[in-house]
Amino acid sequence: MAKNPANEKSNKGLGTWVRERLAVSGLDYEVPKHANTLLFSLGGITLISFIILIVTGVILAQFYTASPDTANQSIRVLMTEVKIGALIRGIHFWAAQIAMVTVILHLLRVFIYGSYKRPREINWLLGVGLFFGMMGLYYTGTILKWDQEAFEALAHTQAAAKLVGVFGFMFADSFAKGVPLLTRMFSLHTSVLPLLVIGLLAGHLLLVKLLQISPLPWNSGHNGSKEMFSRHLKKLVGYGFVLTGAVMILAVFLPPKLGAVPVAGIEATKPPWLFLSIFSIENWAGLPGLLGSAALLALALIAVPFVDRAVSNNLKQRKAIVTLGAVAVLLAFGLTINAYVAKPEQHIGMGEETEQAGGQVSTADDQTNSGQADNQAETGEDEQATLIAAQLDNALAVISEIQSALDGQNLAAAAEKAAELDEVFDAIADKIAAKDSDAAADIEEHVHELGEILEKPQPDAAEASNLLGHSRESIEAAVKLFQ
Amino acid sequence: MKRMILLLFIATAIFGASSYAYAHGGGGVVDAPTYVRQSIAFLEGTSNVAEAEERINEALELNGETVNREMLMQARQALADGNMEEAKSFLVQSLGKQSATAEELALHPGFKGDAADYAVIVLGIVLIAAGGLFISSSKKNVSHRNGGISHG
Repeated sequence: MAKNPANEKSNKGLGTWVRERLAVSGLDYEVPKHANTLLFSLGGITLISFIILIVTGVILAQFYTASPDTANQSIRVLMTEVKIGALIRGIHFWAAQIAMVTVILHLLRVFIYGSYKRPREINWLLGVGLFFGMMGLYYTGTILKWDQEAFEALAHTQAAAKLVGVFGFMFADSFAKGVPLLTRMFSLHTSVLPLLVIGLLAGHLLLVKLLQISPLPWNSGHNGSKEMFSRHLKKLVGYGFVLTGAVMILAVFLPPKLGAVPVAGIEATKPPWLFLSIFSIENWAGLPGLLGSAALLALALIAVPFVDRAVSNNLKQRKAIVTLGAVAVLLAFGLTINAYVAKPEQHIGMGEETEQAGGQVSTADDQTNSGQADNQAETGEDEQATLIAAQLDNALAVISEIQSALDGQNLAAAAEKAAELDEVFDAIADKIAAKDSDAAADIEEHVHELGEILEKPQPDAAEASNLLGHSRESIEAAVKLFQ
Repeated sequence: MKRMILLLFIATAIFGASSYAYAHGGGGVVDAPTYVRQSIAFLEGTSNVAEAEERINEALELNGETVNREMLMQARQALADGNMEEAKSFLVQSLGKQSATAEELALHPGFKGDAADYAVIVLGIVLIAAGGLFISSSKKNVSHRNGGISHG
């Protein structure tokens, strides 16, 4: 029987079979030799860290509850009761640190080498987008642990969002009424931002391939020796092994701590290292300083390829912009060290408790909501309205809990919650009456009657349910008075 | 003038945002337990003894049985003696909780030195060594050309 040459070729082994079908030979194209150096592999190392983050993040998400009441506790359970839970969290933490360090170094390398020059301007912008995407992931990740640091960071962001008005829509209650911000942060961290980063990354890598590796800044126009891109990938796999091993060892020896459950009313922490520099600025210039410096950084990065328009990327011809960049980096270092040694300042008035009627004081959330951002233009009246609206929201939440208790025929729990509702209302009754005495009387009548019914030895659940509905309606009407 | 009014209207619409969402469930009452938690947070966050003492005093001033006053006083004494860890422990106990498991304190996992830890370390070292070998042994496939691609 005659041999078929095609069959003979396909019998060379599994490796050949796979390579042929995955068109691996497509990766055997030439790149400049310097593409395989560590400096030109920083982006790839960030990508490997990102992959580690996705894998460990998916595992962590299985044990996390994105609710303010249970988030911190769920991580404690993960760390103490789930096998290798603390290790996975440690790997996630250290991979995030490495990703941020390498993405910053990659950005600096591209900047110093002038790799953003024609025709790579758009790829630079994609890279800047990736940088901010990674920053967003890092920030939302710190929020999810829901300790004091997370709580204060979120309160700062809320206050900053308030300053920028409609642009801070994500933090407005009207965006997703009744959904805790922590839940939204979880959504951002696990779906919105990763999808954004992956999308930008795809474009970034595609453009690197199409536009090719940029030349060295002291060797423009002469790339010299070539190597195969497949070697670059093999090296990256090697870096991947080293990185994975390193984060595993770091996770064992230096596992990240988890802070205590947050308490409102104080500012007692500093942000993670990545945000220490803008924290310094905030110490001096308040929230507008924080927002301004962040916006300035973004604008400066976006402007780089359009400001430095010389054709050559030769360092000698770019002394001014590189010096400017070096000064900015030194400044960031200085600000970081300053924040590290400085005591936390009161930025958003969390530490200044505002006495309310009936012994109520505003919590950090309330104060953030009311926008007490370094003497921003908010009147005391507005603040009080926001605080009362908060208490009314609180009352509505208690009503939902009473309804659940009634549905579950747990009348004792319903009675307990009704007493709580009574207390919440009593604290703000005067303020509501000042706006609309009929509305206040309406709520008082329904809430007190509800309490009386549920206190009876054998309460009528149907009647209680009916009164609960009236209470809800009257409180919802009162909410409108303070909007 | 019309333009100015229009700009003013737009600016008000943009920057005059509506109410903002809560980080969690809403308002609350600052009671003695909250002061105690604030005191712990100051000690945990920035080792701020002055603020922590102030919060303990506030908690002591409030009459009520929601915290153990004796424990609070011991915490205050421990702070005066410069023993922050002991103070934190008393503060947690004043809330009726055990300091070892209380969520009011940070959880500091450390190197346990058990078999699992050593297994992970060994695996990490193996991965690093394998990666190192991979990086150094990847075959060179070099060609020399002059005047290569330049996208300066």
